[in-house]
Amino acid sequence: MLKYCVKRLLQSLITVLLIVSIVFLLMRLLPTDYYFREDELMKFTDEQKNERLEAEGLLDPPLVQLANFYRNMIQFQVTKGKSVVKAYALDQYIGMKLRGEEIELAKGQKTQWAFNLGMSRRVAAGQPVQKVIAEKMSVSMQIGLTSLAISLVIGVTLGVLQARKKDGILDRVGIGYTVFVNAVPHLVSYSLLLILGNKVLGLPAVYKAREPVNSLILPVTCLALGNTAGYMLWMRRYMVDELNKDYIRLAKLKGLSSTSVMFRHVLRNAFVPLAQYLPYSIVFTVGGSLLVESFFSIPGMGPMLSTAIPRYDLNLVQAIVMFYAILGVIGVFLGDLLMCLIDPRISLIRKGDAR
Amino acid sequence: MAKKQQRRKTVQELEQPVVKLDVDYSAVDKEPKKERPYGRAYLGARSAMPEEQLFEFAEYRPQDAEKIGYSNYSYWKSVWQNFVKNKPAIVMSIVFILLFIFTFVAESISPYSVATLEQDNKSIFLLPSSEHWFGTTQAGKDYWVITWYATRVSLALAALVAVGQIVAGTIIGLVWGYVRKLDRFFTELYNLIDNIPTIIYMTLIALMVGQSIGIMAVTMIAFGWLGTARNVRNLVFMYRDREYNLASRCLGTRLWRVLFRNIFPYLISVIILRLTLAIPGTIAYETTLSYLGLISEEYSLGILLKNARDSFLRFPHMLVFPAVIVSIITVTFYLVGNAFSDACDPRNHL
Repeated sequence: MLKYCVKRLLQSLITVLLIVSIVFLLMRLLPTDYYFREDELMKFTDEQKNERLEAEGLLDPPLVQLANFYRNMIQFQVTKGKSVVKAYALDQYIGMKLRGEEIELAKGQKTQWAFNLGMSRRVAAGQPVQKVIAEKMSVSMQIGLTSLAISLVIGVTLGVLQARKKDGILDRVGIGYTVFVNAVPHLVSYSLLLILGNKVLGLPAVYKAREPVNSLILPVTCLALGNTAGYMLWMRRYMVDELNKDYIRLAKLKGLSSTSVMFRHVLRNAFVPLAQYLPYSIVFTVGGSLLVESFFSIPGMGPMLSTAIPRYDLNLVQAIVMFYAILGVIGVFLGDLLMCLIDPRISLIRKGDAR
Repeated sequence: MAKKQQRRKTVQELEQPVVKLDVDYSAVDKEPKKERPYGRAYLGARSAMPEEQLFEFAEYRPQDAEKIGYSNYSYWKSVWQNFVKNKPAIVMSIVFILLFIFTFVAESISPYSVATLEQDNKSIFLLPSSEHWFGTTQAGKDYWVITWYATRVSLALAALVAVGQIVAGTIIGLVWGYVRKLDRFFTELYNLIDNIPTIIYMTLIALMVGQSIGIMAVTMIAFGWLGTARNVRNLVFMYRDREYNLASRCLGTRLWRVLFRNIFPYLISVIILRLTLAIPGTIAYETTLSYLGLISEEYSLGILLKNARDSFLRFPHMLVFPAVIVSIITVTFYLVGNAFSDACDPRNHL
């Protein structure tokens, strides 16, 4: 099992590296003007621009730039106060140590290891990108985790009740709800909810930093709307499939009560396929929701990518892509592990790679 | 052809009752008028029969022997019969067809037309009236013609993208599943494209190539075939090594014939399901993309919904009309797709 995990994680690492490299190279296709801030673009002459690009190594062939990007991902930094005076890439540092050279420190300077993905150029000018992402992450996570918890509880409960009285009134209403949520574009259902929440309940229509709780009610509800429908749909489907199996008939014949059959046998088996997606959803709450967050102007992770790309904040784009790729890989991996834990019949080792 | 007709004739003869029993079915059957087509004694009638008639020696009848091998079951006929039973899907289909026809009529019955709409500062955000049937926009333009024009644009885009995705996905999926050597390559390609957020491709292409509805359609096809291809590939995997295909290959059938005559028929139901679901998917996706400013088209349903975001709290007509139309379209295709996939399941037949 351990061997499998290590192998799987190594494979995932390669996938992540490939994705990051491809995006990196894609971004180099853009004109070099986009490396400057808007105000810099106005003042600088072409020569000044070239000098600056040359100095930052941005005129090198894309593959060399890519190599530099990876080299500088972990840096040994000499800092003074809060600003970085000098930074050494990992291989430079090791080379110096091997040659026996020491890094000279002036007064008040300190050294530290740092994870470096570059600076944000336009969205949050001059800030390290990991800091920008970390700030946005917490907001998204709050909304995501709350709505996930709500929708998991409501969705699974309703799904179970639906399956228990199949074709009953509750089942029909539930199916109508899932059809509505899945078929009607989210923009429309969010708008309806917004009208309801704003006109009837008087909740704020856009995010206001001053009243964070009130202004997060609508986004959380919107996000939970879709998730609940998803859990209801699949819970019901898996339960109904499971109900027709022989062991359930046997359990009923033995004289077990309907409730105990439902909870002890059906629910546990029907939950296995859902469990696979659970860690993925939890991990991805960090990633935020593109539509909900931009609809309510919430400063979260969701719309980051779509704001960073048109503004050509390349370092930020790379960092976000890497972030999402890692989240995705970890989410799927944890999902497989959880599925193994819940259902001992499933073995990852025999199956080889799961995708 | 003549041979087939002849066979039909004998079968019709076969369906005539061979043995007619003097039994009063009404004692056991609630539908006494219905003629039993088969010669065998109707089982339910047993209790009403005198004991000596209960058993008889079976004679050899060549006609009867032939009959066992024949069934007038037709897959597509059963699919259709099952589909028609689904009332919501049928009702919504009719509504959608009427709506579709109306999109072409709507502009001509209005005094305005999209080509000649002009900005008019005097008539900003008018509510629906006899002059402007759907009210006016923030630029004072007639919303009726805009909405119907946008519906046409969105439907055209959705149809184009859905068909493109399915055709590309099916062909790639067939090759992916059938040619073993390419499996690894396509799997890696799939993982790679699937793992990078589509929004990156969309934005990069919008920035580097340009923004038009045509480019958007091509991009959506170029990254939308993945799901279908993977689904088709898995199905091809199931059928490619069945005995009939092994036999076919041993007999030297050409590759394309194996793919399209032996395997493709099994995929049709899945493909049609995916096609019907791709249309609401595309429309929903288009609304999201418009919201992110990635579609430059002047009018499409997505754009109208996006524009409505800023004004619908005060002027609900901006939201209501496009939202209702979008919902009718997407709900119809969603219901039809699901009804069709249920109808395709042979377990639901008969």
